Amino acid sequence: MPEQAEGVVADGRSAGEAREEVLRVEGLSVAFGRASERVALHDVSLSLRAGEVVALVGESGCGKSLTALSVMGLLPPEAHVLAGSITVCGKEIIGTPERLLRRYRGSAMGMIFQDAMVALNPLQAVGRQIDEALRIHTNLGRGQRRDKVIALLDAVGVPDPTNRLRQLPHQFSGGLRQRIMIAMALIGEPRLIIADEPTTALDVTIQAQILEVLKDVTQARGTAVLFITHDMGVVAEVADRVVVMYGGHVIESADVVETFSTPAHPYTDALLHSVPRTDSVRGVDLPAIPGSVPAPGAAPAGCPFHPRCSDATQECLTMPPLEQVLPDHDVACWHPHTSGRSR
Amino acid sequence: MTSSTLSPVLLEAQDVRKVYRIRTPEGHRDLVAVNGLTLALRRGETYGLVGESGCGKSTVAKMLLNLEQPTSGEVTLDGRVITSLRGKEMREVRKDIQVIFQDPFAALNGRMSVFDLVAEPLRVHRSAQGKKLREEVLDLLDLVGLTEEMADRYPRQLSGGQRQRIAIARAIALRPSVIICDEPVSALDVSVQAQILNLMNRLQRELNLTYLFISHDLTLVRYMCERTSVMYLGDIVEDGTTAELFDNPRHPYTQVLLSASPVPIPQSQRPARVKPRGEIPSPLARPSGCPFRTRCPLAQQICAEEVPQLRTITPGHRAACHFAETADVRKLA
Repeated sequence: MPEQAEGVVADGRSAGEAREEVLRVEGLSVAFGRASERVALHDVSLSLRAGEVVALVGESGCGKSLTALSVMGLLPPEAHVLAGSITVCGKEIIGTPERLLRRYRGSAMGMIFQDAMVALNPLQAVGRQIDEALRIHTNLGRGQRRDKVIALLDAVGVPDPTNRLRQLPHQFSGGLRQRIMIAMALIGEPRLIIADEPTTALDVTIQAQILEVLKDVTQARGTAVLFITHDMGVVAEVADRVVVMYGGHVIESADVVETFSTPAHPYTDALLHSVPRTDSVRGVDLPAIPGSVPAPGAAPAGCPFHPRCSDATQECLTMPPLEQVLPDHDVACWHPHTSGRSR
Repeated sequence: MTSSTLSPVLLEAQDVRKVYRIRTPEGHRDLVAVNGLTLALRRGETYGLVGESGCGKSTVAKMLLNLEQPTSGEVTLDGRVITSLRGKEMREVRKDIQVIFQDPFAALNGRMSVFDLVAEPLRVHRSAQGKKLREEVLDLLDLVGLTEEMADRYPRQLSGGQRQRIAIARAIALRPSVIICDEPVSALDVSVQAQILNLMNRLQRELNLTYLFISHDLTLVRYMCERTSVMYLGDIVEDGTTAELFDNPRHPYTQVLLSASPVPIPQSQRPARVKPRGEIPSPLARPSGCPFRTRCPLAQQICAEEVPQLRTITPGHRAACHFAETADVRKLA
């Protein structure tokens, strides 16, 4: 089993160069307010290739969900894009009329949200809800669509799919509802799935099952997944690459193993060390990060982390660029921890 | 460990059971929320209570706080039965047993200033007034790491971490001996959680507090608690010292829970997970025999027929499984 897992990682990386790019976000800045006075995303760039799972990770207000909404073309009306470009399978999202965006959603990209009970229509049978993308985006007949829905429900682990597709969302448990959401996102065979905290509301044992299903079905189809989460444990579980956000900036981007073994940004490093580990000793204080997370659009000037950072200097009053410090490892910091220095 | 064995039992639940009568389309049914639970907190320790949603851990908290009457069994605080206390007597006991909830956004009245929020328990119990009240409130703010200028602010002007500090200040205002902490850091940003855990540990040392630490997060329990009970569908399925429970779990549910918990170690670098089958059954439809048998990868015929008793496996370590001596679901990974 371990050998196989390593093989997959190695394969994934070498094949990764050749694989098509599914998503590219380039220099995206988004602001709120009449005069765009509250800038919530600063110059965000990231990309995903087919079959890749990229975790977009950060704490509340860091801009991870706003980035996801931008990709889906679902920014709230009070937010506006100041600069940047987003392409999904080569198609530009920014500035595209809603009529066209609707065509992309469901066919080019699928979405999974945190709370299935809110995302699903409570008054419509789940089979019909899953079928919606097929009705809109394909010319398949009713029988063919039904077969596809049943096959997919089976693939995501909903028992007895033929009968259960007639049921309403409330007749399913939380875990099953999340499986239905996954089926709904995948039915149009999108190249990209955006999953915003899809397991946060679930119990640990159910979470493990859902993460496995999501990984299996997307891997089998070569679907790229942008996985938004605040939980580093979940990141370790699902991600090939990790993009860390803080105060509306991307501050680090690296392979998952590197992110955990040699975090280069002091924030990533401190975040990983502030949670108890198996060798943490009871009664010995955890290395806490002082202060609190800035509100969206209210991040301090310069590096947004500098007021909480133990390495901060005068230089940190200017925002450092996101630069490659190690192979395939970008970091936006004037004083990156590059020599495996960590507390 | 030595200190916990030496200190006397402070808060104790004896064979506490809570059954709710539920009206369903098929008539009245019994929902067994807590199924005969025994728990003893020793003075000065942090005791962990772990389990997934619906396992009954919050019902246990309510019964310990006497906010909910057990159907049978009793709760004692310092040797005194508190389950039947009412009115004035109960108010006296309340001073001694306090609570911190998960969501500091919901737990604080948004129309009260920080000063009034922290002063409220002191006013209700008439334990301080006027200048002395002000001094005491400022002392409490200082104790939880907030400055005097915070006193005039309102909850909406504060971060989640600051709000939880205020909830803690309220809980310690009357110098209780026990605090029930129901998921005290789950709603907070990860970078803020450590601050609150450190604060809780410091206050425990300074004020000789006893904590019941209720959580679904095993890493937190491992770090915070000396002893831990694992609950499943209203039953304690395993308990013991935290170290023993994590290093040598004997109940398949504990083993599955440990294996399924996400840890910040990349997937390629840690052992494969054991996934439990299926989902948590409804407490209205408890399986016969062992409550975990419907999801247990090791279940046998006997597990459906006989309820396994919580029995001692090694001194101080109990498990309710017919195969506790040999059970190891990790071999199946």
